[in-house]
This record gives sequence, structure tokens and C-alpha cells, in this order.
Amino acid sequence: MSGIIKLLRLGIEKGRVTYRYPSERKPAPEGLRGRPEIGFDTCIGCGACVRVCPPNALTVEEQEESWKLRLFYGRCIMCGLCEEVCPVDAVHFSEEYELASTTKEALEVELQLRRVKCVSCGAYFTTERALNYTLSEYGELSYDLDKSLKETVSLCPECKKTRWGDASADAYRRIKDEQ
Amino acid sequence: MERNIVEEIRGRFPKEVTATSNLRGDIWLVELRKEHLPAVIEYAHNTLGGNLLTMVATDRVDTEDDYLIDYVLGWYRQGQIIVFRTTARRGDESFTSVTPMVPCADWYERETKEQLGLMPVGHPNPRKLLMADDWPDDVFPMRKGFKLDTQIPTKERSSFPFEAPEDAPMFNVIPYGPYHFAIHEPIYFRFHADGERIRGVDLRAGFNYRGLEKIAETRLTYETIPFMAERVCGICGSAHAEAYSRALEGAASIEPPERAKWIRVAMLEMERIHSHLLWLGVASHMVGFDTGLMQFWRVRDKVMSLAELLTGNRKLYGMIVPGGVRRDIREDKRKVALKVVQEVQTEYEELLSAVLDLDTLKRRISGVGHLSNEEARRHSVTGPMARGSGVDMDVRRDFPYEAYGSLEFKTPVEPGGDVLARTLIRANDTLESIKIMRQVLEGIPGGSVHKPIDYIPPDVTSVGLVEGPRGTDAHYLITGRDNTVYRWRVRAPTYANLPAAKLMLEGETLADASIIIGSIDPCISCAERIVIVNMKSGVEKVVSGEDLGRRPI
Amino acid sequence: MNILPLVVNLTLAILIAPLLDGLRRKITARLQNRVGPPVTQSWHDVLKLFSKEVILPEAGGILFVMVPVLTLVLSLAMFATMSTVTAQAPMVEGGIIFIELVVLSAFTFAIAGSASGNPYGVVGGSREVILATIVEPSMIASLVSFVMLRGSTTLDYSARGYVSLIPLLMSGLAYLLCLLAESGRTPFDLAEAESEITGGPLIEFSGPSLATLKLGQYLRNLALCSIPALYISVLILPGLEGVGYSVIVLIVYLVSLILCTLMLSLAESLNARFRLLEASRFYGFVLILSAFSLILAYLAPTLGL
Repeated sequence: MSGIIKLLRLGIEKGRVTYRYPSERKPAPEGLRGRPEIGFDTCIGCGACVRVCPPNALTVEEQEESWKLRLFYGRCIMCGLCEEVCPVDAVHFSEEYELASTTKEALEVELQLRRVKCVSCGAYFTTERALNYTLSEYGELSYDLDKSLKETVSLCPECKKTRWGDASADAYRRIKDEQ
Repeated sequence: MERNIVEEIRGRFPKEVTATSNLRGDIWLVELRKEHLPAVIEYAHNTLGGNLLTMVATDRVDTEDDYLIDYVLGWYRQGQIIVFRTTARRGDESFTSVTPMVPCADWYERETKEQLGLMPVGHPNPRKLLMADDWPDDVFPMRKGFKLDTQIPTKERSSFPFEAPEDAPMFNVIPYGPYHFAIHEPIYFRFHADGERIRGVDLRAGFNYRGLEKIAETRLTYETIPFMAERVCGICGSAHAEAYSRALEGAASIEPPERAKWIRVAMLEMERIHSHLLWLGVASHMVGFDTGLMQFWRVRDKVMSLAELLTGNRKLYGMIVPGGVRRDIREDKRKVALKVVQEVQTEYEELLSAVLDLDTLKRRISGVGHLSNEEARRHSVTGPMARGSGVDMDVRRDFPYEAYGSLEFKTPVEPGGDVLARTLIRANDTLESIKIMRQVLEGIPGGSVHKPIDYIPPDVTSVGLVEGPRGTDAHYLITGRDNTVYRWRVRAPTYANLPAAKLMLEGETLADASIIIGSIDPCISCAERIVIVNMKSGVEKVVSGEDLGRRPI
Repeated sequence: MNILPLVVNLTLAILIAPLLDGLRRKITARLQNRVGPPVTQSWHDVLKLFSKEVILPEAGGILFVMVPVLTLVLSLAMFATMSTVTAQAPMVEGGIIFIELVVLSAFTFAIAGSASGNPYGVVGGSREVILATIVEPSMIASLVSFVMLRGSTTLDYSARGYVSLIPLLMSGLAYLLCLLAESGRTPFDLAEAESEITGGPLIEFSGPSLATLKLGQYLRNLALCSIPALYISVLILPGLEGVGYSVIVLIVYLVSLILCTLMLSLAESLNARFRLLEASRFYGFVLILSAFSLILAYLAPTLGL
């Protein structure tokens, strides 16, 4: 019988603990990993977040001049790895947790950036912003004796390999000649 | 009583054991030829009292032209783990089954057969375990050659060969599952019931097989696997992430920083409190005591809010990764956490004394679902199931990891063996966890919380053990070359505990079936398949969606 | 047959029955520290179910379709035999018919179980039959003793003169205890037991058939909760006349409903479910109590109570 009395007392004393949702809402605590938001102005299109996303909620579609980043919240597990790896802090987790939707389209976010051409072969290889970011990080440093940094960096990976190969061969020949 | 188990085994089987070595610390490797497996494993398990932790087979056909077969056994009192390793050459894909003598190896060997195609010769009933009924018998998903995106056509008709007791036609077949309000996840127990008494039980699992191990090997990296590991189970996720991280850190021979270890303990214990409160609520619901459900979950909500404050999410914390933890506990949050833990303790103790005084509840759980000490040992059950039958085992105390070595806590053990014993153990476990959390939050050392891992050597075998809320969580992995694992095997504690359900259910009434199955604290996961049995002809058929509306479920 | 009380009863019953269930859910929720559903929730549930498509199991048969309608009709018929808020009852000498209806409608639930062809339905139905075999005699005994004490089988509020107290209280207590099982809620909801036998007989019903069945159950519950009003009236109403009389009748009726609902909610939230054996033992005791009340009611004039 004592169990019944104790339970009755608990039921009466503790009052109401549930919320009258949606008019009453529980406030989200600080640091809640809610909906991840990608800042359009800040993103440089490096693709690090895409590489690291475990469920592939972040995907990239590259076509000619366009570089499209797509974030599908239906797959997002809110792990926070994208926020961790972003070099320019473009990804932030808001405290919004009410993400239910009746359409799939409402859960997709797209971000489109422009890509640049390789100065040697003309293929599109990276985004304009990523290129400018690299340049701004390294200022006037250059590692190619004859060319400026901007020219060197504006080569696609294939042409970079060729240029490196040529430059190394030239340097080697020069050193050998000097001996 | 310190004795080296490896020496004992080598002394008993001098010719059969081909090599022994130390993998790391307390993990040893004993190699033998596959013909001698049953004798050695039987001796190690039955005579020396080892607990079968897991059994893994790996496809090494591309590199070594063979398959690795590992049986991992653990001795809690001595604090030793032994990996019994043997190989099966390509072309001779079989091994001698140890199930006839060690019944708890049943599920592992069946899984090996269907996943890798290694036939356990002598196994009493090598039926499918995890794969769908209409999965072809000659396609083995865990072989390296099987591509993840292979399409397998489904069949209209397929069936699963259930076992029935001898006088089956006299009894009613009652399908408990795969869809049942009490169990919260699909698992299919088939009861042969005589009125309300259960006379025969058979079990079909695998409704929630998601192929995580294959995904980890092919698509994920060392960094992202802990997030997958956390989602193996919704309630004990951190334990899985921890076991994986420990296994990987063991393979790389690194230790996370001190503060990280203490935070990990806080995460694990918080999860244990949350899991046990959830279970107490669910168990109350199963015996019709809904107020217990509401009240226990009211207290549990406090714990979840605490988790939300500390980790950023109510469940699936995402905190434990190899190398340490991802977030630090700020000083102001630590103070709030201490206050919340104290509140939880007061409310919980108040509620527990009220519920345990309730006669109508105690009557329902005393004396049902008996599992004797002998049976518990023989079936290598783990966690509260084992401790409820008097088997004293606790990874935190016997294989101290993270900060447990410096913390004070007790491990409750009850001799009763019935549902009441298991309930008391989980209830007391929660109190101990609250004590541990308080110690952690008060005495946590300073320092960094993550040490990046530079290099992980390939081809290293490692085992990570963690005491999850349901028992021992054993993760076995072999490191690979492309920044991912070569083989990863998750052995959740329910995998070991479920087969023992059959023993507990026979002879009990249908009314108690729910709470008995619930007392295992099953943590399966979900899929959707319905099998019906035509009671007159015994023919089975898989029912499609449209048909469902017309048939009794 | 008095038409006005009949019409009043039927209208009132259909309107109030789901509200009473909603009130029970609300009180239970508050005892569990929850907000709980609004009191009109059961109405929303029934109306929503009526809007769903009809799905019949292949193993069903004609009985499957008939049972919900049968339950509804029997429950409604109960309101033709007794008075709720009117001083006059729709039917004179309706007491025996009322008792018969109570017993009959208890067994429709069991028939529903077998009619569905589902093993869980069969188990639930058989549990219901076994429990009813013990509960119904107690119910019959307590109601018969009440009727005997009043000296009339008409279930109305008319004054009857002195009624001996001890058998009346015993009969009332036995009746309230039987009400616990008749309402089909914890601790005696083993026929329906959602977490053990997945809803028992209810499992195959859906859409309009489930709505009808539920409505029938709510009406039956309301009818049974209206009886204590008659018990109370026997104690306090003799001697009252005039306009104040109708108001008192209304108040007594509402009090009876609220007290019964409170009792059901308390029992539901403070107990675990009884198993068949335990429930049978409990109702064995109630059977003895009601049998005693019946014997004392019969012997009251001679014993001079």
C-alpha cells in the first residue's frame, strides 16, 4: 500500500512537466547542434566538407563553369564534422531543431559558385573563390623562378604536373651544366 | 589468483597450438590449425571458464589466399583476452563447428556461413541468421569481391525453417513479432503455446541487418566510423563509439589525454543512466504500469537535457572519437551538470522507493524468466543478464579502461536469476553510475581533450571492450591501408543474450513473455518483413504490403 | 415506455460517453505529471476512425462485421432501462433487463476476439471469457441485492422509504469493485493488454468498425458509471419533493460519474496489470462479498436490519 501512497504523492506534488507544444516550447540550450547553415558569402568551394561528411548529405555537382554544393538535411546526422574542417568557418550549427517538412525540396539547400579555367589547357578545375583564397594566404611568395604565383596557381592539376616536371628537368639540367 | 591462461592452454595442448604471442597488453594470440578448434575452444570456454566475446572471420583471399577465423574469449577475473586464430585456405572453405560443445557459438558460426561462405561442419542447424529469407545461398556479402551496390533480385516466395517442439501440432502458434507493441524493434519469436503456457520457442533475427561492417570497410574512413558506430544502437551508441576508439587506439598504441579519458567516462555513465531509466520505464509499461513509464521517463528527461547541454544533442552525442573527445566541458557547464546530477539522484531515489514498494508490480516480476547460474555461464551471457544470475563480470573493474581505475564504484550482483533480480541490478547500476558521474565532474583533471593520431600501422588486430548498459560490447578490428579498417566486427551484448531467451521463455505464460524478453533489455533495430504461417497447412508466405491489410498479422 | 426520458437518455448518452472517457484520460495524465489529451480527445478519435476506409480480414466473416454493431446496440439499449438525469425511468421494471444486457455485452468482446481469426484475438477473447465468468456473477449478485433492497426493479430515483444500510453498502462496494473489471482498464485490462497480447480482440478492428466498437464500449462504461447515482439516491433522496428534486438528481448523477471516473483513473495509474490467476483470486473475494450482500438483503426484513 505504501507504494501506492508514494506514487500518488509524486503524481500530485511534481505538477505538470510536459509542455503545451506548440504554444509552449522548450528553449534550446547553447551549443545545440541544430540545423547546419552554410554562409554563401564565406564559402570558397574547397569541398572539404563534402569529403568528410559521413552520410554524404553534402554533395557537389561540377559542370563546366558551375560548382554546385548541395546540402540535403534529410541525410544530415548533425555530427559537426563539416563545421570542424571548413577552413573559412563558413558552416555554423544554428539552434533550430524543428526541421520536419512535408516536401523533400524544402530540405535541400543549394549553393552555386563559379569555376575558373586553367591558363594552360583551358579546363575548369577550381572555384574562383578558392583560387583567390590561396593567393590571399600566400601574398607575393612564389616558388617558380620565372612565373608569378598567380600564374602558377591558375593551372589545373594535370598542367601543374607537367609544369613541375618541366621545371624540375630544367633545374636539373642547369645544375648538371654548372658542375 | 593470477594465472596465465595462455600457459595453461599451451600446457594442455602442446601439439595443437602452433604459436602464441602478445598482441597488446592483456590481449594474447594463440594460433592453431582448424581441426583442433573444437577441442581447444571447448576446454577454454567450458573448463577454464572463458566468456565467448566474439568470433570473426575475415576474407584475406587477395593477399594471403586464405580466410582468417578468430575466436575471441575473455577471462574477467584474470583480466585476459585471448584471440584463438586459425585459417581456412581458399578452396577449402570450411571449419569444424564448436557449437555442439559450446552452444553460445551458434549465432556467430551461422553468421560466418552466410556472410563469408565458410561452412561450420557439424553445426546442428546452420540456417540463415541475418540475411533475408530470399537472399541467395551462394552470395556472400562480406567477401572482398562483393561490391556494396550489387543488386540482388527478391523472390515472391521464400520461407524460414523454424524449429518446433515434438508435439507441435497440438499447440497454437503465436507470432510474437516481428511487429509487437511491447518490443519496440522487430524481432520474431515464434511461440508454440498451449493456451497461455509457452511450450516451444524459436527465434528469427536479422530484421535490422544494415550491413554496417561492409559499409565501414568500403566507404568510410577511420574518422567517420565512430559516427557510424554510434548509430549501431540508439541507446548505447557511445559505448560502441568508445569500443571502436579503444580498439583503434590500441592498434595505434596511443593513449588519449587524461582529461579526455575522464570526459569519456562521463559520457558513458550518462548514457548508462539514461539507458537504465529508459528500461525501467519500458519494463513498467510491459506489465501494464504506465505511470512507471511516465515517471521514469520524466527523470530520464533531465538526463537528456544534461546531455544536450554538454554535448549538443539529446542522444547520439557524437563525442567519442579516436584520439579523445570532440568537445570540452566548460567550467560553467560543469557546475550546472553537477547540480543536475544531484537532482537526478534525489528524484530517482524517491521514484525507485515508490515503485519497488508497489506490490502489484513486484508480483509480476518475481519468479518469472528464470535463468540459472549454470545456464548463464554456459551461454556466455553478459551484463545485467549475467549478473542477475550470480555471474560477476564487469569490464570497468576487470579490464580497467579510461579513468575507471581511479574511480570508486561497486558492481551489483544478484543470485535470484529472475526478472526481479535483473531489475534490481539495473536500478542499482543507475545509482552507481550517478556516483561515478559525480566523482568525474568533481575531480576531472585539466589538459587537452584530443590528441590527433598521426599514423595507424596496417594489419594490426585489436579488440576493444567496453561495459555498455546491456553488457560487454566487443569490437574487433584489423587495421587496413586506405585510411579505413580491413575488418570491423561489432558484437553488441544483446547478440550474446538473445539466444538465452529461449531458455527463459519455455514454461512461462504468454502474459509474462513480454517482460521476460524485455528483461534482456533487447537492443535490436528495425526493418520490415512479415511472415505468416497458415495454421492448417504449415505453409509460409511472405506477405506484400497490399496483402497486409487483408491478413491477420 | 416513457418517451421523454428515453430521448433524453439516448441523446445524453451518445454525447457524454466519449467525454467521460476523455475525462478519465485527463485525470490519469495529470496523475502522471502530464498535460494529457483534451477531454474531447475521445470524440476526435471516434470521428477520425469513422473517416477511415473499411478493411476486413479474410478470416473474418459475418460475425466480424456484426460484433461492433451488436456492442453498440446492446449498450444503447441499457439506457432504455434506467434513468440518468430524469426522475422517471424510460422503462418500468427495467432492472432485470439491465442486468441481462450487462452480462450479454461483456461477452461480445470475447466474440470479437474469435471473430477476427487472429491468434492474439483468440487469446484475448478467452481471457475475457474466463474473467467474465467470475466477474459477472458478482455483478449480478450486487445488482440483484440492490434491487431487492429497494423493493422494486424499476431503476429510477423515486423515493422508496427505509432501506437497510449494511447490505446496501456491501452491495455498493462489490459493485464498484466489479466496475474496475467491467471498464476494461488497468489493473484488469488483461483481455485487451496492449503490451502483452497486442490489443487482444481489438487488433483486427480498424476504421468504422473500431469506431463503433469503441463507442459501444464508452456507452457501456457510462451506463455502468450511472448506477452508483441510484445507490446514492437511495440514501439521500427519500423525502425530497418538488423542483429542487430535479436539480438534486442532476447533481447526484454528475457526482456519480465524476467519482467513478476518479476511482477508475486512480486504479489505472497506481497499479500494474493483474494476470489471469491473480485477477481471478481478487474477484473470488468480490464474489463472496456480493454473495453476502445478496443473502443479507434477502434476510434483512427478518433480521430487522
